[in-house]
Amino acid sequence: MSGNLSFLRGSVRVELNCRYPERAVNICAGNHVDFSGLERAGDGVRMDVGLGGYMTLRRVAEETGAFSVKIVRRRGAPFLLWRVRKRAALALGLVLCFGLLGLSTVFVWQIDVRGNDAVPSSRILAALRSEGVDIGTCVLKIPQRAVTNRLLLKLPELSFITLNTKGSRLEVLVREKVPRPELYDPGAVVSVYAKKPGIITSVTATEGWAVRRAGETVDAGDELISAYVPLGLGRYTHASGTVLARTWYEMTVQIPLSRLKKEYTGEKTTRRAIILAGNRINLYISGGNPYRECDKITVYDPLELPGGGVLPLTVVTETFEEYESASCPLTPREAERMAKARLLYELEEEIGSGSIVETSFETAASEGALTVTMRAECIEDIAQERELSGAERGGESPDEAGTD
Amino acid sequence: MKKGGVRAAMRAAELLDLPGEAAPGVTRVTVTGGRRAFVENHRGLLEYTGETVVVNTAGMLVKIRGTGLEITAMSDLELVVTGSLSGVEFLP
Repeated sequence: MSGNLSFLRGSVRVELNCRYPERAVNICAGNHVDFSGLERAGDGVRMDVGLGGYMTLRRVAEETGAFSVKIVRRRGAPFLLWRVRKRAALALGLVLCFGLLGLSTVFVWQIDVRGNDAVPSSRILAALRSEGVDIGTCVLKIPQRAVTNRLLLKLPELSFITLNTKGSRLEVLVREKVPRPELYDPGAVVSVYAKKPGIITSVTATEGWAVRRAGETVDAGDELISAYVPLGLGRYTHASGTVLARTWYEMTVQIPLSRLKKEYTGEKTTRRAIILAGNRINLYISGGNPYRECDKITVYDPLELPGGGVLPLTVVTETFEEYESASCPLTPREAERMAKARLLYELEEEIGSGSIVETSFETAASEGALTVTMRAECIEDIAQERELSGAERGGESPDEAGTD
Repeated sequence: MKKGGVRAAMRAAELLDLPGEAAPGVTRVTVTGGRRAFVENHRGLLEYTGETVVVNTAGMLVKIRGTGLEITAMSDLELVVTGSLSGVEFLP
């Protein structure tokens, strides 16, 4: 920082020649000339002084004649400007450039959203935009507290939001709400029903009255654990438990025996554009895809200063690679492998934490496609809780039932 | 402050059992880690080489010896000498 300030103020390295260099140094100190980098040079001394100090030294040297002053080196902005004084356009350009650079720091050139997981950044950015905060907005005109309050109302999934401005970068820091867990209501009258047909292998009723036993066959919707417990005077409860059952599935998938394959021709076209303060400027004339079939790869390269500062300029490079679609035959073996993998994936998605006991596959080729049918036996929990309506409980409330 | 004035101030401080620093214009030499000497209330530089720096003060000369000596900063009252210091002498 001090180096930059010194450069802006300008400095001169001078050589003071006299019979006693110490005397010249004392004169400097006596006349309040700040110096640095003092070194002996032959009969004199060399030192760095500011422009004001140099003028003082010149004056003292003329008045006293005690030493002579010789400039060894000039350094700094005043000398640079002096050199370009006749090139007005260049000087004006420099001043304008620094001025614009300084002015640009009060605008938002980049928005970073952090801390979000379930809520997409695009939604947060859209909400911000609706509040008037976008690329190019003046940082000083963002009413942060009001914006954050309104964003919390617009995005109820968020519990906390704050806007931090770091130069031209706006950091939106959010915290998402923790979803409320499903609460167990012991007062609710709930029975357990079968969500799938199957043969029961075990019933574990943690609450309620098990009305089905292992080995029985049930259909979807059959009651498994009743909310009514017929002990004593009888009472209604919140039935719960695990009912494992053998279940069967039959799934079919059809895989065509040919597929399209990309064959790149080697032809490539690159186009460039710039995004200046949110506005895209194409550096090409004709738009649209240059080829009938092609891949388009877009790379956004925001320009940044070495210290991490953001510039309102992003270079966009679009590369189009031509390809031709060619039909590629698929062997029945490959098609079968793909079909089996897809069927098993779908079955695992269906049974969740259940396990697959046995599978058998049947394949049939027809009209350029392979049809694979899978039959599987699984063991899974088929219990599903459902609250009983007043009519289902015979018009009795749980309290009445319990106190009778 | 003149030489006599400084002496009188030092004597007064001793009589009043005050620290020497309380007397105005008294020369102070602070050496830090054998690499830096800070001289306050000097009266000018008498000799300056890379091995010796002699500073005039009220009532004595301060001779700083060492190698690679440099005068890092200097004002009309204070002076900073850096380098590898080997000794500080007070000459009458």
